[in-house]
Amino acid sequence: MVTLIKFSESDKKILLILLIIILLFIIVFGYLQKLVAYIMRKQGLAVDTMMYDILRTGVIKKKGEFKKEAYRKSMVLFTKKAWIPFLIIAVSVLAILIFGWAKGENGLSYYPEAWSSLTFDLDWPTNEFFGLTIVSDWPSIVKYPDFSWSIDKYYALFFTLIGAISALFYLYQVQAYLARAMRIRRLGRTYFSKDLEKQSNQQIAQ
Amino acid sequence: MDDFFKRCGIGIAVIVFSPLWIAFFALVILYASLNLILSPLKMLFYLVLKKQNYSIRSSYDEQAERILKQLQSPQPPVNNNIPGYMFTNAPTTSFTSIKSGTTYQAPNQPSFNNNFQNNIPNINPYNNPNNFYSNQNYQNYQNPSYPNQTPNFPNSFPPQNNFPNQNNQVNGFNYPNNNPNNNENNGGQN
Repeated sequence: MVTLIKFSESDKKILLILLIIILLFIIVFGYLQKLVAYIMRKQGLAVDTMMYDILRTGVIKKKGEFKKEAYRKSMVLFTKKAWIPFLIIAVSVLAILIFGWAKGENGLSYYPEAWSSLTFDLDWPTNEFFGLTIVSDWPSIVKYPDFSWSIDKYYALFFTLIGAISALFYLYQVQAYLARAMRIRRLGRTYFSKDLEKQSNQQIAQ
Repeated sequence: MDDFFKRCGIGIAVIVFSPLWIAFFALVILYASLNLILSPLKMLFYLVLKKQNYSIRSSYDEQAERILKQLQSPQPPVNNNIPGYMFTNAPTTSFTSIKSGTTYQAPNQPSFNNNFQNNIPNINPYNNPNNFYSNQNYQNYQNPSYPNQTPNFPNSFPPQNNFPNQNNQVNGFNYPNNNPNNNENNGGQN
């Protein structure tokens, strides 16, 4: 029997681990999509709240008018909710840049030095796998974080954390804006569609 | 199990199309951020040129509110003081029935007199002109002396002067003699 590919024991282990990791990624991303879709559906309902009375009383009867007004309201809502996180991100970035400018010669090099002293240094063992260099085992710790006091380190850490948290809030509002835009597109299609079956269902309901 | 495989399929699709989604989301972030940066200018534009606040509420909302207020305008109050004679089979309770320990039975619901018209009162006086020009003497008057009995509208109907003007009086309105005890002659009457 001719064998084209021969796996060693370590190759088999690596292959199995890779397959499990890929499967885990697929499952995680599948359920993450479900979570994101649920959140966006809830966020899109804000359009219904804003436009309900206007459509119920028949003030707006055209699709174009509805979309224009709904998009305008959605943008105003986004502005009201997102300006604070945006401002905090801007202030954090400016604070990091101004500190680097104030330091003089080294400039912004204080920032990566601060983060490297505050994080672990790890050594990952690698192995050749069909011409590819991939990780083969758990890492070993080469350097532990240094929590001694230094204005550079804690200044960089503080403003990075503040900026990161605000960025998350800002991205959430951007997602909400996208969700509302998708809801407006869908409502523009369904609410104003000239569908005789929908009309007959309404007549039956009456 | 089907849901699990469906989720795995969606997961594969998400991983495969993730660069597209990320690029699209990045464009949305860029667009939204630009709008946010330009929003102070928009606020100024709204305040100076359109003379209104940059707010979610618009003229459409005001119109809708007006229409809703008209629809929800309070109805005339219902007359809850229904006189007793309107009830037939009015429920009665007695202490003897309670003392004897008989099982309490809820009294029969009163039934309304069918002749009682439980209509919303008509508050428009113009529907019944007699309410507008009320004349108690006229309402109680049984035997009118004036041949053409019309509602007491001094200005609505032309005077029916069947009696010639013998006294050279101005041909004005002749009000009917509503008081049966009043035998005085009015102008124009014989």
